[in-house]
Amino acid sequence: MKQLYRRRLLYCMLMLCNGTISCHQDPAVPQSAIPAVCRIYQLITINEGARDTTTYYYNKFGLVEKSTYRKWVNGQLLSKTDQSYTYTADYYLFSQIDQTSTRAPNGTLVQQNKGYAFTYQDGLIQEIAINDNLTNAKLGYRNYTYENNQLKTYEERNGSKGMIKRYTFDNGGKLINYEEPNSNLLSVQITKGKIVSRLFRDSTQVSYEYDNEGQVTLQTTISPSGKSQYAYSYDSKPYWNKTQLLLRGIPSPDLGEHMPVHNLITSTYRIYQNGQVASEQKLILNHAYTKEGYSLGYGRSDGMRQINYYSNCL
Amino acid sequence: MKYFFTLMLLGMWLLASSAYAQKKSQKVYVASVGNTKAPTGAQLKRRNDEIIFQAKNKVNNLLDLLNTLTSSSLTESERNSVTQNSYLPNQNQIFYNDGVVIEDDIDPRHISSDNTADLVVDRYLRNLDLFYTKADTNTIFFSQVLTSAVIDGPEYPYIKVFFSSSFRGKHNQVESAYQPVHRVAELKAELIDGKWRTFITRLAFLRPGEGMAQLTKPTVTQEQGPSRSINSKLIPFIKTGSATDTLIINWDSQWLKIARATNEVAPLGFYRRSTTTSDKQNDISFTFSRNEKRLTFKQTDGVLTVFTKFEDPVKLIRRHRLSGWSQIAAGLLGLGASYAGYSTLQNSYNDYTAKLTSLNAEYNLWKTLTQQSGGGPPTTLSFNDYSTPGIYGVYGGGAVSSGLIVNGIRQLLKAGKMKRQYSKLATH
Repeated sequence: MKQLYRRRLLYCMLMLCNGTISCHQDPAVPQSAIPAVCRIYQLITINEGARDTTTYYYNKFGLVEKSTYRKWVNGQLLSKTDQSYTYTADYYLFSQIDQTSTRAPNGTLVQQNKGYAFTYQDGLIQEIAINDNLTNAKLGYRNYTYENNQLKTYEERNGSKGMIKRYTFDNGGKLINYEEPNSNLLSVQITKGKIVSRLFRDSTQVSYEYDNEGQVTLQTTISPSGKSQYAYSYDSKPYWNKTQLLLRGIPSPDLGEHMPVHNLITSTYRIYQNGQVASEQKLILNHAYTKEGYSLGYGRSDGMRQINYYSNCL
Repeated sequence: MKYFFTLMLLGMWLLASSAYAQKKSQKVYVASVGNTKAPTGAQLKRRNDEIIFQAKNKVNNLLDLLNTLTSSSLTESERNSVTQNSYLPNQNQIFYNDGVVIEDDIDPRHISSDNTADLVVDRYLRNLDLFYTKADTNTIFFSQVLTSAVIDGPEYPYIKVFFSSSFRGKHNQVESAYQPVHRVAELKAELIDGKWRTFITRLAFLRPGEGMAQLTKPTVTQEQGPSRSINSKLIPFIKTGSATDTLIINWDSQWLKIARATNEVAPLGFYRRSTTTSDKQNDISFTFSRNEKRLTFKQTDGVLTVFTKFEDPVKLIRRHRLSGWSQIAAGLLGLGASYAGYSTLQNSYNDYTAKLTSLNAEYNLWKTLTQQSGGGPPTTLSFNDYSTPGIYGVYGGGAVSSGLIVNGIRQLLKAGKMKRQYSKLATH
């Protein structure tokens, strides 16, 4: 009888060993942790006989690995640009190649092949060198300097490293100084990190007003020939570029200019004479939106249209 | 956790089935008894008086025999003749026959039933001749000689004579001094040629409790026995705590037979199967337990005597060892299996967490670059949640295996203890 219980116990143990021990939960492990979020796929702009298309292609992580731009005028391909991006295994942008073909009015085809080489230090971009891949000439440089890992200056230089533009930022990332030597720009006035006025050597003055989100709402130009003004208004929906990822290690500083945050819905152009509005042209952009609020495109009151396609968008 | 109750139920089922089996294995056999009544009538009284007289004389003859054999005046041939005459049929016959067993008291270290050796009469007397120092005078004395009442056995009347024995000589090989011991002689009465004669059938140490009261030991009065003989082997059972009190029994589903009982530890006869132990005043019973390895004798006064199935110590030790090593091996195997199971689960979990860690790192990086809200990293299960229910098997298997190892060690220790006890007994 005792042996019977021993056998039964052994049987139970074997059952436990054989059946139970090998059992564990089998939770689904996704192939990728990157959520399938909304991403811009194509932008098509049609304006009378001109039509341009920009298409974006993404890698598995969601970074743009290729974009194409095509422009047709009256059914003829006038310009095309292919941009390709290469990333390191840890998703730093390693190189960029822009290949552009433009047909000149005389019918000749002008080709460009620009290469961008990215140099990082401690995970932060230091320099972007732009090279003409056809002639191997240096076309320009973008230089970044940091203070306590905060962007201090951003410079755009020509192929011989001559300064074109220089932006200086405070510790909070706000623009505090802007220089554009060797240009017609005489001076700028900066308020709260935004360029509110530009004074050119020909005494032309352009002043800007911004909303709280850094979008230009009013741009007034006073030149010896007169005064003109652009007024802009925006919706509250996210601009399509918000569907794209930022670049790792490459800051996107507020350069004190217009920041595209929302979609433009009106654009008004006024010409003043003797302090009075002499003429006014107002363009209204009617957008349709996805459920998430991204613009599916718009129809502008002058007939221009834009169509936007997204992937993973409701 | 969802398998916890399953395991608990399994455990309860095992316990319950064991308890049920234990209960089921209990068998009770009952018999009615009656005390042997003292003879009535003048003729019987005369018979009993005669038997008592003869018995006392026989014990005196025994004393004479012992002193004669230890006398230095006898020749070897005379000693041989005296020895043989003590158990062969003749006028001086003292012992019933040469198969009478005597508990040895010649070795001065033998002072009780628990510490002696059983010798047949010839060997006993020759040991006395060999080892006890000879003297010109008597050196062996009996005192406090008492007789029991005459008991009518199934075939012959018998009687017990109690006395105190004192050896004042020395053992020529053992240095220990003799000390007085209490002895009992059991004598069988036979009517030979119209005269009652008594013969010693057993000579032993007086056991604790073996007094006058024991002489009125009940006998099974139930005359009805099984219609067919019990078709099973005779099995010896030994009284717990005793090395010599044994029962030889066999039984079937209806009857239990006490075929032999040393020292009258229980009445001989047939006991009928019963559902319960009887509370009747004249009923005694035997109850089996522990898979018929334990037998409890309940006397009329409610006193319980426990007997255990006698097993060959060598086989028992071997079985305990085998069981011990088997359990240790099974336990180690189980622990190994549990460890292997745990390792398998841990490795599987490590693979799982490595994948998720990589995914989470990728997600966290993505989160720093996206301008949209939404999504979230995949959640990682804890080890216990992930490895359910296997982990319960691992823990349970580990516990059971540890239990087996502990039990195996206990079995080995038990075997070792038994071996030491057995070796000690064997040397005696």
